[in-house]
Amino acid sequence: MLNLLVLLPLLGVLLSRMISTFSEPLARWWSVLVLGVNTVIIASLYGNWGSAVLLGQVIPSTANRPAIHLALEINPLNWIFALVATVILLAVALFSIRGMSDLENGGKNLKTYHVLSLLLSTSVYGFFLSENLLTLFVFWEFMTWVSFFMVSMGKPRSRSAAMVFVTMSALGAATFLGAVAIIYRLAGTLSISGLSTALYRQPAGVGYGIMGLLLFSALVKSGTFPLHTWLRKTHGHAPNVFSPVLSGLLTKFGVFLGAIVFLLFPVMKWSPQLFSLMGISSFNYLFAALGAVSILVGTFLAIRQEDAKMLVAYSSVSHAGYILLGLAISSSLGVAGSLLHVMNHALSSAAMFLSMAAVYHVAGTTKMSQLGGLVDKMPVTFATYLIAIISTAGIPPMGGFVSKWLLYQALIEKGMIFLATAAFIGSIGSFLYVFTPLAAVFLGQRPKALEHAKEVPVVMQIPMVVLSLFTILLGVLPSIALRWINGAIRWIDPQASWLTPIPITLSKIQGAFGAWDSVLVFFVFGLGVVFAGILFYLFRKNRRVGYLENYTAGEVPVEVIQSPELYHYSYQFYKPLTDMYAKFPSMEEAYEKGIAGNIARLAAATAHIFYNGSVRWSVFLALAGTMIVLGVR
Amino acid sequence: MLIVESILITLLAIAYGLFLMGFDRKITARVQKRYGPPIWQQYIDTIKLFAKSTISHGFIFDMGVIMALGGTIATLLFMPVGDWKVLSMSGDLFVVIYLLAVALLGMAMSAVNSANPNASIGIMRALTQMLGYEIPWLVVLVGMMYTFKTSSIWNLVGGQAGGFSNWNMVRMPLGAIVAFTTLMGQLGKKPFDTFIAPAEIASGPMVEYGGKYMGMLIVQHAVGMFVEIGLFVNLFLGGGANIGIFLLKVLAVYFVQVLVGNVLSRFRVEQVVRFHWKWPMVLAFVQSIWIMVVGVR
Repeated sequence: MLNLLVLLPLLGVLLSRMISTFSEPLARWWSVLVLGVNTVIIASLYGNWGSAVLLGQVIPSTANRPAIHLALEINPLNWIFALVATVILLAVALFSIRGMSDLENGGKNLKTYHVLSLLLSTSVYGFFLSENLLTLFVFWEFMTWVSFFMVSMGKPRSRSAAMVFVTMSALGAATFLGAVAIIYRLAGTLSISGLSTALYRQPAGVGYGIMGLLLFSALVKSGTFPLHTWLRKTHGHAPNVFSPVLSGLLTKFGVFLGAIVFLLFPVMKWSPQLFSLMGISSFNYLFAALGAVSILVGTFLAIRQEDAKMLVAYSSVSHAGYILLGLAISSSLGVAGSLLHVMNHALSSAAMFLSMAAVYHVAGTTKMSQLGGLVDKMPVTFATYLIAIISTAGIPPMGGFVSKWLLYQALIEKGMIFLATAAFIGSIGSFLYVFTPLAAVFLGQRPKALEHAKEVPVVMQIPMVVLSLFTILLGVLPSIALRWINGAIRWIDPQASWLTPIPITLSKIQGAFGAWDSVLVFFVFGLGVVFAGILFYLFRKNRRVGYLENYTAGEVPVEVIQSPELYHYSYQFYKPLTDMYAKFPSMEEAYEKGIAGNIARLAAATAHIFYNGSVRWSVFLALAGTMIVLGVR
Repeated sequence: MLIVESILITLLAIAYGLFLMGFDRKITARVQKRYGPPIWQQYIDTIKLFAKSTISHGFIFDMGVIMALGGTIATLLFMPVGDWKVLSMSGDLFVVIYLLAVALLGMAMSAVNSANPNASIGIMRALTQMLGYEIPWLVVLVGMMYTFKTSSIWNLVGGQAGGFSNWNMVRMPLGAIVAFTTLMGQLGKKPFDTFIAPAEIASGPMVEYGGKYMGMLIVQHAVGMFVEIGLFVNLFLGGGANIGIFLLKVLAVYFVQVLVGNVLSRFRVEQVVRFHWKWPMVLAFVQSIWIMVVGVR
């Protein structure tokens, strides 16, 4: 069963290419079918912990070293990630049946897209179900290269975006591979579930060195400060249907690696040797602080974006920060909050990107200032976006609140007041930035060009609705997901020496300092709405008027009637706020000017030594060089 | 039973909130040496608004108003009112704070759907200044929750039992100042009323509302005021032994708010953020770190 998960999409690639020569739309359904079967398999694997399968041998065993295989294994931790992954992949595949309007120039791109997306799915399943670190690395690289081609398929200038993506990924891959080599050398095994025992006897210095190397690549992939800079360019240029996968799923590659490092390394043995800060080791505190900075950077950059896709991209930087924060705190509440946030963020960010892809499908742009008033035309897309942002902003009764609540409890339990402040700024700030697209794209005046816009086809609505329903479900009954997470916690630490399951019942969740009842909150919210609704509908009916029947201080500005978008406040929505930090230094510029610029200058200077415009000098150098070489011989 | 209790407490909050508004008008008038309207004027105005016919700008315009009032009422049920618990045993401080955000989201959505740029600018200002005042307020709450080892409002009230000297206002004086300042922001009282600003943006979010929509929003504001001041009373003034004392404390806090608000003039929105992130933030950190290190007597 387990190897089917990888082999099915891989074989599917060949078939997909063949099918698409007959009929390209059929290949879209083919992808849905393959991913649907995989989803069923993953769901049915729940509980079969420890079942493993070999894909092939890489290093044969010697006298003192066991062999290294490409192998898959299922355990309670990676099952959660695999489930999230497969749900997102399936939803996006279904959406792509009609939603690839930005790729449809001639249809040639589409055939390639199907092949690539199935290859990508292969790497996703392989990665999350890896048995050992080498398999993990192989699929990690596989994913990087496939997504490199997928990103560069987008808009005309997307090749440079793909270059940034691949350069940063290559840096991460280098440290990852280095760490894998060191672990194999020291421990003789790479098995993920055995890391804790295998590395147990290593000194703390070595251990934290390895963790640092692995976390570097985790930070790159998860898009966490200070290595988040690839996200903006990549998302801005990636195909619309690829963005939800990239943000909801591929950034979770880094999170998964981070989870392995923080949860499956023998950290509890090493940490007493470092001095501790606020009850966690200074190493963990450093990464928690990086998470906090990531929250702030992502939030403030998202607030000032003009393109809805970029805005959501920066919101993933901020949410990657929350996840890292929880993992680095490494308390029961922090870990549970983080893992739950992985699910919630995957669902909500995929839903946000899908609704933006739907807007692009209809309007041909995601620039917020060119849109407006789409709520009447696209009610389902609007509802999807609304539910997703309630979850993103961490407001009950949606899923995002539950995970953020657990993280707040974890932070306050340890008394980490500065990190908690960052988390609060991120949460209030997320309210600000998610509201901009709501106001600018869906509400307000509608430009004349969008007068005949129509809701997207049903097949695109289904995945959006399903993702929204999951978000609501995780808000009303988070105990379903928390039960899985408690299983993972029990698997990570069977003796309950540093992680204990979160006390939950069907509806109640117990934190460090308090408990709340998710079903009751949902019910009471409903009750409040019913009261308000009764009060509202009890009184006189009102008259519906158009958007242009507005208070305009008694004047009737002609230009407004001709082009209503002039009367739509959407450009630079938070200008008074963003002006306050407009002059802050940007990490992206620092890399481009500082590192990339200096490398370019160094290269130019080196080139100048050999060729400074005079041919004679170059010939002289070449001759002299040849003579020296000959002389040395 | 729950339904009956929630209806009763909602009616109480609406009635008392409207009374506070009338009281505000009276005090403001006296400060400005006017006679002012009778104290029950707000009731008459609200009933009149509900009776009028009006216009709607679409489904979200209606829906948002309902969501705003609904979210605020839900929050109210999780807050202890004197010795009246309703549901406050099963909610916690974060649930209350973030449920209020649902109400704000509803109102923001509804206002922006009126498609009037004045409303959008008003909402932008409201959200921006929320980023200002919420942070120092939450920082104070972190210190409080850490020190008392609970995030349940009911237990935080219980922790102040035993007379005036045990009130958090006395134990955390700087925190109380910060909370009082941020409460003015939450209520949109004078130096922080950038999002209403009648002379600049035609009452901002309210610009397109009339009739029962305006009535709904006034009722929402009444309940919201009751919740926000009530939260301050619960967290810093020891709650109330019974409903009467609780209501009196709410009135006292609001009285001071009105007086302070009346002698100050409006900030610009970025000044609101800058202000809150400067002094209240510093005070909040000093207070929280102080009480987390030293603890309560």
